[in-house]
Amino acid sequence: MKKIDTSCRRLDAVLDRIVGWSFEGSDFHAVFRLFAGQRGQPITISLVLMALLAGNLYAAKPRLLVGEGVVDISPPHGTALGGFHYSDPTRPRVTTSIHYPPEVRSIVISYGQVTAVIISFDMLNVSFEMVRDVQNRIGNAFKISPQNIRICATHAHSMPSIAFNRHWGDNNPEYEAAVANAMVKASKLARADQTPTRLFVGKARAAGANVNRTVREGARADIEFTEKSNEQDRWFDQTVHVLHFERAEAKPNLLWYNFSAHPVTYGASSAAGPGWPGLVQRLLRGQFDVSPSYLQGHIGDINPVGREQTATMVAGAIVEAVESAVEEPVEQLAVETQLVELPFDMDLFQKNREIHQGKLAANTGISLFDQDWYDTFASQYNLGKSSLPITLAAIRLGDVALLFHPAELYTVYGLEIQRDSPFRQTLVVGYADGYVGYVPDAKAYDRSEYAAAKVPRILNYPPFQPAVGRVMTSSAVELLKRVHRR
Amino acid sequence: MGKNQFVCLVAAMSLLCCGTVGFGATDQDDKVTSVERPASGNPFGYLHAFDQTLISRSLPGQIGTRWLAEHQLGDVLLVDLSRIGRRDEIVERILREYNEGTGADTVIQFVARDASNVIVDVNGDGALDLIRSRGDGAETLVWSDVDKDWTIVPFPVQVDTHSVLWGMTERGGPTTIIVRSVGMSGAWEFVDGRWRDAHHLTRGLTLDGQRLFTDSKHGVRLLDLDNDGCCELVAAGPTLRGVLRWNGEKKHWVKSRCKLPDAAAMIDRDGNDGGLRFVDVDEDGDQDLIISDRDSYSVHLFDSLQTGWSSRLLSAKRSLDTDGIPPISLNGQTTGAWYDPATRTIHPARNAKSKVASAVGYSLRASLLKRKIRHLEQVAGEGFASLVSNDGDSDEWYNYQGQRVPNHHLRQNKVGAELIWLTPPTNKVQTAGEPLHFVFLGAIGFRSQPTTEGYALDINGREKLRFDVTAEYTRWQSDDSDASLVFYPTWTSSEDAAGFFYLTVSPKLVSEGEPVRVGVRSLGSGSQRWFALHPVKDVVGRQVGSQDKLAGVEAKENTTYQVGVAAVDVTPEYPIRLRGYSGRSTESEGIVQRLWAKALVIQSPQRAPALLITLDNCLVPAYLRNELASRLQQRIGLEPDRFAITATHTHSGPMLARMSETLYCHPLPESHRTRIERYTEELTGKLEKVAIEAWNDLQPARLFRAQGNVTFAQNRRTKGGPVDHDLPVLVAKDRAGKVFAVYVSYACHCTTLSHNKVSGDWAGYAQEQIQRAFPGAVALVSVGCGADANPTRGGEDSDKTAATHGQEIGREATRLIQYGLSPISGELDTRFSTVELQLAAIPSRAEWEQRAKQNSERGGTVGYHARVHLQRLDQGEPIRSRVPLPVQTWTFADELAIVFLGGEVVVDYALRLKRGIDSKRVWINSYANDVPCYIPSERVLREGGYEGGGAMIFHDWAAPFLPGVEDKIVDEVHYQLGPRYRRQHAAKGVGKP
Repeated sequence: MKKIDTSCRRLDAVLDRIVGWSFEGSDFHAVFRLFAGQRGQPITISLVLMALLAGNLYAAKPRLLVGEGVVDISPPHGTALGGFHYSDPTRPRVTTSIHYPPEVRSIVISYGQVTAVIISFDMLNVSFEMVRDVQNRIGNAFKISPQNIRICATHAHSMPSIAFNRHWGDNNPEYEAAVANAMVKASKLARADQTPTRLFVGKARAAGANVNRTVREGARADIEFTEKSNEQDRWFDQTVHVLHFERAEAKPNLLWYNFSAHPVTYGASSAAGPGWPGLVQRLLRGQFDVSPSYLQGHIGDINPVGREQTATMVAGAIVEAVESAVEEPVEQLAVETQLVELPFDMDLFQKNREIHQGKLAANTGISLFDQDWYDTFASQYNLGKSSLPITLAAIRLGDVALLFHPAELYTVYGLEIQRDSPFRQTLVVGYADGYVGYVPDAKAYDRSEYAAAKVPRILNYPPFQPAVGRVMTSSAVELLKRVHRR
Repeated sequence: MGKNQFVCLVAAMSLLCCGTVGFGATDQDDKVTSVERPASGNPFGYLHAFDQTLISRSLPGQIGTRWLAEHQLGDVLLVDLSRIGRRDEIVERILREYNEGTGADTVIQFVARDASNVIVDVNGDGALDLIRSRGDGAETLVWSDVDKDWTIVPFPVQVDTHSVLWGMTERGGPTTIIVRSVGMSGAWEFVDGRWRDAHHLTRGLTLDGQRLFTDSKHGVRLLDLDNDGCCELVAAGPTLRGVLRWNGEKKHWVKSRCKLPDAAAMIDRDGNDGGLRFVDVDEDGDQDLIISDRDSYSVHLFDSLQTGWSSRLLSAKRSLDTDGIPPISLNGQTTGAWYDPATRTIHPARNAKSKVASAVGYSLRASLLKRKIRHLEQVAGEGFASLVSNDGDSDEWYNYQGQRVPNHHLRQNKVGAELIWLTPPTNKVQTAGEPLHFVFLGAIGFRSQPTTEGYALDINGREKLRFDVTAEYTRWQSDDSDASLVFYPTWTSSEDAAGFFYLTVSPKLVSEGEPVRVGVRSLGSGSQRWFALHPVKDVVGRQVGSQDKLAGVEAKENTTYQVGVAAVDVTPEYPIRLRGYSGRSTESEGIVQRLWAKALVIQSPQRAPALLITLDNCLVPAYLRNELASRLQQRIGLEPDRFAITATHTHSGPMLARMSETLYCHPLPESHRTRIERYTEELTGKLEKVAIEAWNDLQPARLFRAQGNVTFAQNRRTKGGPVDHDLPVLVAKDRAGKVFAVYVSYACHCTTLSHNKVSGDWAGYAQEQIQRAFPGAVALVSVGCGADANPTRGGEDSDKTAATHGQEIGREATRLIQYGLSPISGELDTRFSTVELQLAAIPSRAEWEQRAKQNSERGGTVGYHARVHLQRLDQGEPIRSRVPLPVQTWTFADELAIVFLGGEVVVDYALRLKRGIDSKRVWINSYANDVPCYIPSERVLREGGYEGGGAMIFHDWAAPFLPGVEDKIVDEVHYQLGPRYRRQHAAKGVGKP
């Protein structure tokens, strides 16, 4: 009987590995023991084994496979960094050191025939061009649709800018090519690393880790956000969302998290790196031997409180979220995208253009930045192009969704998307699949706040209409509902 | 290679490898201990304390009862080699020697907080295997007894003490590990020489909606709680608490209804030691809980996976720092407290630094006994139905209530004599597989009689266990555990004890429906010790409930005192006149034995310390006590009334200054006087020094008392006259249970020797004997009311005789310490007063002049004494007509009274006081605080003679006492002790049934 037990264990291990099905404890187990025990014939055992294998392969449920790849993308010394204004555009801020190694981190998730790739990388932003390029290369390599690939910058202000930024970060074509290659490489590593996985999803609050930077006081926390909440208030979202992947075969577990805070904690220093998320990684690597990957949230109006404080609180919340995470039985992996036109405020743009034109004509004194904006962008803009097409994307993992958008979204819209999402838990990821700058609330346009009035001129866009946030929100929620119906 | 060689090897190799870093000195948690090699083939056992893991398939018995500490056994080790480099090689070599059997019977136990290597028998073959960390992973070194070498297979995870749970999830199944941390999850079983993935064992690792992680901050362990061979998963962290059991059918962990006590936490919120340990304290195979931190302590007994630890053995808030169970953790730091299953005592670490951590050990014995008896009271049936035969006698004797009842008794005066009776017939329910319990009434006694082999208990004609006379709660068990006998005394005298006997027998020893034939058989002869059966058939209804009676025992066993002890050599290094015999006229002629002064300081929890000094000298004068009391009050704040000093009355000790010189019939030469004064001055300094040393030596301790019997003292006035042969003993044990102070007293003149050499006489030899028996301990000896008792004289070989007497005392004290100690728990109160004893009429000048002419046979003592008094009269000095006598008592609540009487007190005082006072609780010293003269009883005073008045001249008193001395002294003692020491059952139960 001991020999039969050993055989059972071996068979169970084989089946578990091949088809993710447990033999021991099933009815087949009893049948097998009966046959083997009474007859003890190797042929009998083999026949039973083969029958079981055939039957279960046919009826085998797919299982979640997850892998991760990581590639260092530390910029070479002398690489221009983005994120902060250059007082002298001819003397950009360049990297002289690395405060923590920036990385491309790719996770490849497969369930049945569907594979999705999410890339997070420590960078100020990502251009639409790079997104298309990398999506195509990975899509070709994996034989999957490019639409199933998400590319998300963390908005690290101690890293270069890949999208255009006027006087805020020169492009570095060679480095950008290397980063694109790194994304492909990391994704291939992730694909090769795939292993059966159980997903646990949790969230916890990192109270005190971030602030709304647009108001001195009166901003409200996400826990106060209700069905009736809207742009009348400024908000800050202190929730850390965690995807914890428990993997088999002695593979390290994977940890991806989503939180909202500008990575600006190294200021205008010339040390390159991820900013506070790098410290979070260092903390968790030290404590738990796990290297978390960061997905930026909705931070158009959000700053961290400080390098150490934010990192410590976020790391603590991650651990808390992991501990309280609930297993998400992933029986569906789906990816949906939606093209959305973000409307420009062409009247305002026209008005600004005329003002600048007048200043130049009167030679009344205009800044180098304004002159450059007018000369190289505003004066040449095709006024017939009154909206910006972007792609929103949603990935469904069971009853959990990730919503990807390319904006620096004001918090209220991120919270609305989460509130109105049909999923048990929704992670709203910004700076994804391109970069459109801020999507602030209507009040920001009324007040001509920095995010509404200044930044479009940095990015070479006309300003958005004040209702742009609404457009973004409704489209995102619609997309989530659509993928939820699948 | 023996143990010492082994340790030397380790030490030597560590020096070679690590320079000056000692093998066990890198971390306070590191320990190197040699242990016995375990037998192989025993079930898998497991202990996982806070920062230590002990795992083995090969240890005999319950590993769960074992607690890693200095004296604990264990064969699975966690070894932190990460900081030491080449120690890897040392461990591998030692394990190789162990497995090859060339390492003799030793193996290391090296435990560290951050253990990176694990020593474990992964395949259950009895050999130890090694899990070793490498830079990029870990590997398993599996020992092959065939190849005599290691087979190396990968270990699936990096070794991490805090994250890897070790256990087994099926009875007889493979060794299993489970890891679930933020960074890694998985489970593996060691099957066919390799680690096989068993990821299914991570299914269901949730508790109350929260995920269970195995890393340190979560307090999760695999433990076989119910001893069924399968481990449960126990979570006892700051947030998650509960028990999961593995459902082999569903292949899923499921929550058990079993709940942990509220205070039970393996770790606190900071991830530090929460002060919880799993220990099988009641030795029923399952895992009980001991919880102890700074504020409280408790012990909970495991019942079942359904009800958990529902039986609380004890629980208390810590009122004093040193109260109760030593803290297992203090502010999250592991104190190193450990559990000794042999004595069922929780001991603090030997190197505990803080006061609270250094409390003395705490015994669970009484609590367990109380629980046991409570259980027996509920389940026991009648244990007597009819007498079969009795080779002894039948009469009446005191029962468990102190009432005279019929009884059948059997003495130990004939080997093989038997007392046999039948129980009522067993019924069907009793034989359903559970043990049978019977209760009967009985008594045992005459403890002062010589010990023999005791009694055998026969069940249906087969000897199952042996027992003997005791006055304590005692349990005897057969080697095969098929029978046990518990004696629960509820009435005791100084010699005897009566109470309930609980007999438990395995159903396989009896036939269903048949009575059990119980026999008690004498195994000895020549002793009057006896066992008695009271033929009562309705005992079940008479059981009185154990809680109240045993509560006192529990408290006594665990009260903590502060005790300090010190000794100083007070041997004169020069010739000096010795005190004791009037016939000596020259200074001492050598040293046979060195003299000592010993100091014992005792502080009870709520009282100031009290100091006792015992001095090897003939006398101790009042002025010396006063001088010392004054100095010590100034130096250390000792209250004078809490100071006692006694002399052993050795007649071979130096004379002290200002003592009466009338003993010698002539004035001392000036040179003799000078050396006496020099010695006295030196002695005073040494006594002060030894007192302060003892004071500074105060350490947590428990006190015990006993009373034995030594018979060499003989009444020297009347052959066969009264003597007091009691040998009271007071013992101080340190926190580890080691005896470090022993105080005894015996009522006998210290006059075995009569030569002119320095010696402590029998009192000195008694000290030596006790100190030999208990190395490191200090022995103190006082003398009781032995003014009219002499030892056997030694003749020419008197030193040998004195040594023999000392050995008698030492042997009896040793026996008592080993077998007969009772704990003391009361606060120590002292009282001190001086009674004035009136002398008879003082002679007139004419009478002095008349006496001065006498030249008596005793060297002219009377004449010299009279001449001294005449000289005083000439100088106008008053002749003293009253003798001030110090009377002091030390009482430990109502448990023990030590009486210190000044003077040379005759035995009548001791006997009278022991009649009026409960003799079990009183201890009477003489020669204490001052020795002005003999103190005769009324009888002795009437009879006259040396002690009755004749010796007054040697002590330089003018007249004998007036009658009334005895009452005055006895009344004072009674007054000081109060009514709580009055005898309750006077004269009952002395010796014979």
